[in-house]
This record gives sequence, C-alpha cells and structure tokens, in this order.
Amino acid sequence: LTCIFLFGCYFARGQFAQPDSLFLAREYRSAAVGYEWVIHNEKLTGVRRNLYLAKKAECYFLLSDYEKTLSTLERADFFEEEGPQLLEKLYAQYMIAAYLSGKSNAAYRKLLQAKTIYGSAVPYEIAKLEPFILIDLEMYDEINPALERLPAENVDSIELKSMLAVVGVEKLKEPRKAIFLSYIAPGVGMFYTGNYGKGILSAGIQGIAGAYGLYGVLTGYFFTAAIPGVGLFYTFYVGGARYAGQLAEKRNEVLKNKWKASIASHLLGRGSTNLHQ
Amino acid sequence: LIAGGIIDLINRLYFLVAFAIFFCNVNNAYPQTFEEESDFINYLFSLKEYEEASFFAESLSKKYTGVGRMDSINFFLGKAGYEMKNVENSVRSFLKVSSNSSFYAQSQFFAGFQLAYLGKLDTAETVFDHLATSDSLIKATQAIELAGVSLLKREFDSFEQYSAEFDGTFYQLKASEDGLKRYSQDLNNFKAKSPFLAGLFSTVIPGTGKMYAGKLGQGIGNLLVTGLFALETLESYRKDGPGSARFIIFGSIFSIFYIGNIYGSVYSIKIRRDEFNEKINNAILVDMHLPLRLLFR
Repeated sequence: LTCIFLFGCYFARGQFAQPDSLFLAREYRSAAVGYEWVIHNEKLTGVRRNLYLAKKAECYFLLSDYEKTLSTLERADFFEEEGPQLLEKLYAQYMIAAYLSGKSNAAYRKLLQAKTIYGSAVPYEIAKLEPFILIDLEMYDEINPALERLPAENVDSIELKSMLAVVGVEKLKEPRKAIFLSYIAPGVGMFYTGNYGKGILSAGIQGIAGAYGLYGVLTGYFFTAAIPGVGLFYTFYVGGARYAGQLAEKRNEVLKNKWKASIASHLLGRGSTNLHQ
Repeated sequence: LIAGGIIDLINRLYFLVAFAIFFCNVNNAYPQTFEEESDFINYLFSLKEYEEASFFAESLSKKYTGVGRMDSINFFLGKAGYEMKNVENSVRSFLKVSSNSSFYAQSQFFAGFQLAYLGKLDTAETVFDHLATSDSLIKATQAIELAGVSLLKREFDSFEQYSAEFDGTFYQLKASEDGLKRYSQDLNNFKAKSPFLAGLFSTVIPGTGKMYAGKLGQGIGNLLVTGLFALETLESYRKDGPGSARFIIFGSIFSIFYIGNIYGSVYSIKIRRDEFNEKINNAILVDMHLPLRLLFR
C-alpha cells in the first residue's frame, strides 16, 4: 500500500511539476513560462534562481530565439559562488547565445568577466568559445594565442582547431589597397579582388570615355564630346576605384559569413546545458 | 510485537513523507487562483515578456468563462498585443472588455488609439465617443483623443469643439493639448502650392518648379544638367546642322530631360503635400499616445 501511495504521489509530482515535464515533451514555450512561474512563485534567489533561469534560457535556445535566451541569462547572478558547475554552464550558454544573436561584443565582455573571476584557470567550456568570438570581432591577431591556451590533449580542442583551420585570414582582401590600385591603374583594383571581368570592363569604359573626351578637345566639340568624355571618364575612374573597395568588402563579407555559418552550426550543437536530465 | 510496532511506525512515517512530497509538489505547480494568475501576468509584463504574457493569458481564456475574469483576460491579451505591436489582435481583445470592468476605460482608450493608428478614424471616433465617464481626468483625456481624431480627419470645426475643453488643468495632458493646438494652426497655415505653377516655372526655366516646391538643391541640379544638355544640343545644331546624328541624339536627350523635369516638378508638389501630411499625422498620433502612456503606465 505504501508503495502504491508513493507511486501515486510521484505520479502526481510528474503531473504537477510541469516545467520539466513540458520540457521533456518539447513544449518549450510552455516550459519557459512554467520555469518563470517557479522563479516568481517561490521568489527564488541564488543558485536555484540561476538554475531555473538557465533552464528557461535553454527553452528559448531550443526555440532558436537567441535574443530571449540572452535576455533571460542577463537576469542571472554570474557572481554566485555556489554551484560552480552551473556557473560555468551559464557563462558558456550566455556567450553562445550572444554570439548567435549577433552580439559578439556582449559575448566578449562576458568572457572578460569570466577571466576576471577564474583568473588563469578559465574552464575549457568557456575558453574554447574565445576563438569564435575573436573571429567575429575581427581580432585575428589574438586567435592563435587563444588557441594555444587551450589544452592540447583535449579531443574537443583538436576538433576545434581543425574547424578553425578553415578560417584563412590571409584570404581577406584590403579594401583600401583595392581603391589605391584602381587609382594607379583603372581596373587593377578589381583584378586584386578576383573580379577579372569587371576589371576589364571598367578599364575599357574608362579608356573609351577618355578617348572620346580627347577627341572632343582636338576637334573643338567641347559640349558634345570633351565635357561628356571627361565627365564620364572621371565618374568611372572615381566610381570604379570605390567599387573595387566595395568588392573587396563584399568578398570579405562572404568569407566571414562562411566562417560564421560553420561556427554557428558547431555552437548550435554545443548550446545544450543538459540541466533537465 | 516490537518489530511489528517499528514496521507500523515506519509505514506511518512513509505516509507522512509521501504527503509532504505530494503537497510540496502541488505547491510548485502552476498558480491555482485567478488572482495569482493575474499577478503572474503582471509580473511577466514587468519583465517585458509580452509573448509569454499573451501565451499565458490565452491559456486562461480556455480555463475561465465568467464575464469578470474574461474581461481581465481580454485586457491582458489586448495589452500584450499592443506591446508586441500586434495592433489588429490587440484592438479585438480590448474591445471585448465590458463596461463593468475596471479596465474598461483603459481598454477603450488603447483600442481607439490603435484604430486611429490603423487609419480607421470613424471607428476610433465612435470608440472614444462612447466612453461614458464621470472622472474629470478621463474626460479631459477623452477630449484630447477626440480632438486628435478630428485633426486626423481634418475636421476643424469638430476640433474647435473638443479643444474648447482644453484648460491645462492636468499636467499629464498639457503637452498634448498644446501640441494639438499647434498642429491645427500648422494645418490651417499650410499653403498648398499649385502643380500648374510648378510645371509652368519648369517649362520656362528648368529646375525652378522644383525650387518653387521647396526642393532647392534638386532644382539647381536639374537646372545645371538640363542646361548642359541644352548647350550640347546647341553646339550640335551649329556645327553639324539639324539633320545630323549628333544633333538628333543630343536633342533627344535634352528633350527627355526637359520634359521629365516638368513632370517631376508637378509631381514634387504632391510629394511635398504628402510629406507634410504624413509628418503632421505622426505628430498628432504621438500627442494622442502620450497621455495614454502617462495615465496608464
């Protein structure tokens, strides 16, 4: 009888302690409201509040709502001394959510906070996120030192390093160099960015416009040839140089987005905190 | 016997522990009373978690049927919709709040304002007009909202009638009262320019129509470009004659720019008027909104 009664009680618990049940049933929106209810109703503080906020944040993470994941985690106490393992997860979860919601500055600030708290012993779960954030913030010089700080023997860090190897900073083009080259020789800036067709076209148009302008000067057709020719040459000369700079930026953007997509898919697989198990 | 007694005691202790676990868990569950549920929704609003508040209120609408509770639920749904800029749903929920509810006035104001925002001015006017109240602050707010709708409809006689009630008694409403009076003057002082004159000016001197419409920079730009094409056409005519390809090409380009400039000048009068109306309508809506935000925070 005792066993039956206890079973009844625990069964009832399963029904009433809804947030975790809802989470396991993948009803993440309902579970998030349920966790918030527990925080509110029980006026949670300290480590338990952090735990429920982390659980709620995970609901939003699984709903791909990274902004809300972040805003939920912002309410957590990152200086709570109890539950060090939970705190590690909170830091990592916050940084991943910040990265995925396009707020790498916030992720970097949190990383610096973690470094202040943990000193030289920053947990691996947090430290391994540093290279990704540095890529997003375009702090390329600091990526290798950050990678070297990671434990070499860790399998995960080997995987991480090989994944980051696809990031080739040397493949990036300098927009200012592209502009400068176009001013020196029309079309060359576009060659530099890898746009050979556009480079030839730009040089051709500028050549024809310049020749037309010169023809106007030589034949005395000032309004119908000299002014339009020189005007067109000037427009394509300056515009072409600017466009070469934009092409370099665009190429860099495409490369960076490729890296980001690869990083994001890696982080998405690492965002779960397993707090509900 | 002693062993049986101990087993019996253990069983009783099991029951006590089991009851404790059971009631603790019941206590951990979702709120049980409507007051707790309402308090929780307000807490979600304070966290700016409007989607969650709406989600929770929606779940309550399936749980309760009484008029009083449904009024509160509809108010919460309306408020969540308003905060999430889900205007249509918000209006629908606000308008369901019955006149017996303590949320009635607030619901009507927000429904009416959002209707005005959607451009449904007649419905907004009806909503504001039907709000019966003896509270002087609510009455003064009602006058502001009705005056605002009158201005949006450009019904100046109605505006005069409602604005006669503006007496500056309530500090929360003072800025809006002054603002609406100012916009009324601006609307009355706005001199509509003639599209015909703009076209005529540009026909005589290209670009001057745009200058007349208030677009000085565009006017100068058009004058220079069209002037350059005129010179090119003149040069082709003088050097190569009217039958030359050069004259035909440059003459055609000049003609396109010249005629396009006339059309652009006429159209810029309409653009100017639309820009003015949009700017002033937005300002009116801001001054209709402000008192509601101050009164019903």
